[in-house]
Amino acid sequence: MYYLQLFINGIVAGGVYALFAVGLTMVYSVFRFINFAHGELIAWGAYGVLLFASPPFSLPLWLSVFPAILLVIAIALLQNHMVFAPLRNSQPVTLLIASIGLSFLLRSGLQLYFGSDLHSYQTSFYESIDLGGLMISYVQLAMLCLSILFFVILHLLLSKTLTGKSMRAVSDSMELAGIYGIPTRKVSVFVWIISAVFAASGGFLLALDTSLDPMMGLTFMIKSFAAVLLGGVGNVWGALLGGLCIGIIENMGTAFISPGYKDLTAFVLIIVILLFRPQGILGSTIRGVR
Amino acid sequence: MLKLESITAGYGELTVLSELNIVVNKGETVCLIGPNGAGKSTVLRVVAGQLLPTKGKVLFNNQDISRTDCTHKIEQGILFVPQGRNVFPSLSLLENLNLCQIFISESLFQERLDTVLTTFPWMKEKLHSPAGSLSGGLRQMLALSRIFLLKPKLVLLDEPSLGLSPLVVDDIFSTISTLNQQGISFLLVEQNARKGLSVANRGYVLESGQNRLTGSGQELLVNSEVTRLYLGG
Repeated sequence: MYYLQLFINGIVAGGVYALFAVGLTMVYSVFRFINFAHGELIAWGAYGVLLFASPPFSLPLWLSVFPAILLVIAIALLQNHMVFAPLRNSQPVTLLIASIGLSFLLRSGLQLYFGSDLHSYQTSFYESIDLGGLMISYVQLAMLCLSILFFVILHLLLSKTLTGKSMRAVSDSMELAGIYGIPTRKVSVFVWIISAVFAASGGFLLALDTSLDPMMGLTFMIKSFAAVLLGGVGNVWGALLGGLCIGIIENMGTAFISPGYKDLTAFVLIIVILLFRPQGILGSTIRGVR
Repeated sequence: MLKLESITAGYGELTVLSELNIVVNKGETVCLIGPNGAGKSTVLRVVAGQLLPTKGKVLFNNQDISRTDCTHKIEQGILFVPQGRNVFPSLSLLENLNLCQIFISESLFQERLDTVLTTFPWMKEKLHSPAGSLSGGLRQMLALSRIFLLKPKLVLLDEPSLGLSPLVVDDIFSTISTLNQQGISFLLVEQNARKGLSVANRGYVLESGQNRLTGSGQELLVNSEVTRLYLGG
């Protein structure tokens, strides 16, 4: 029963990691670089809710989620417009380093405004349901439902809509997409929006489950990076699988090693994957979002 | 219909086309031949809007279109089918065709899709497989399907026979002739000069970005210089 409980905790956390990973992998598949500032979108999502829930706004927690998501979308579009778009013709390494710099800037911004201490939301939303010995909190349930909902929407978007098909075409080849008359700039903006919405909502839910800490972005960024590598870089369904695997492995791991080392799992996995299967589980020679 | 007036273009410091003049009349198939590096593909890229000319004008129905992008060109009726990788491998055949819906309505798409499936009956069974699984010849036909769907006025076709077996090449060229008879003009770049000139009304021989010779397809086919240089004897 204890292991089953850990497994469920793992699936819940993994679903949210998958949300982060999918944003990261989609940005990669279109722009060909890993956005290290992605973690800061997660952290700003969590802190954004805190911002709008406390004075001078003092909105109820649930209502604060929406302006927070809008704020994170604005940050994502700004970073694209001011940093990544002007650099789009340079080497991927340049973009990578720019994104690392950007992550420091955004993290320091958080610390400047909110301080370096731990925060948590003022809410009484911590009750749990008892399923014959298995405890699932409402927060976990919300995390699970949201992850499923977002992935269903994403699937429909990518396979049924013209915008989704255009996004997949752009990730196959930006140049050919231009020749086909696909509005590549609009598609780019759309990819950033999806990445931001997924990051902000996941960030809020994880912070609701634990706490807010200015370094949270970095931790989750590393975990989603591991998930992306595990599933195969640029592969949306690989990111889902990778996220779930990371969540399950790190939670099951707490049965054997101290929970203090929980975050170790992601790092070890990154090294192991890069050594033995650099193309990831679902990775193949054909690149692009599938 | 299409008129290139003393076009100069290139990549960075490198000038590929200098003071080039080319005309394509309505309903014509015009073939560009010439050695590698003569700038044949660059001509198409300039007309398609992928590359901006540094000097000169591209006129389409007497309108200056030198500075408009690919999207705008398609709206005006100029379709570019590039060489080699010209479909999206991870999208299914149907999804590749779906991308035409950026320009045409759902009902028009369905109607014209029927024409595509009658022309290429093999597509029916493969509509939902990824385009990356197709052979080179079938991929070229998938790329050409866009002509049926978008009904452009002018098609810019870059090396349609590249890497294909002679039998498939014949198929592709007969498709081009059929489309041409329906009133669609073609500006064709072809390595296989004999094949290209045989379907062309007129041809241009390019050399180092300049227009060296011009004439009807038949004239060029029997021209002693062209025969010696490009038709292998």
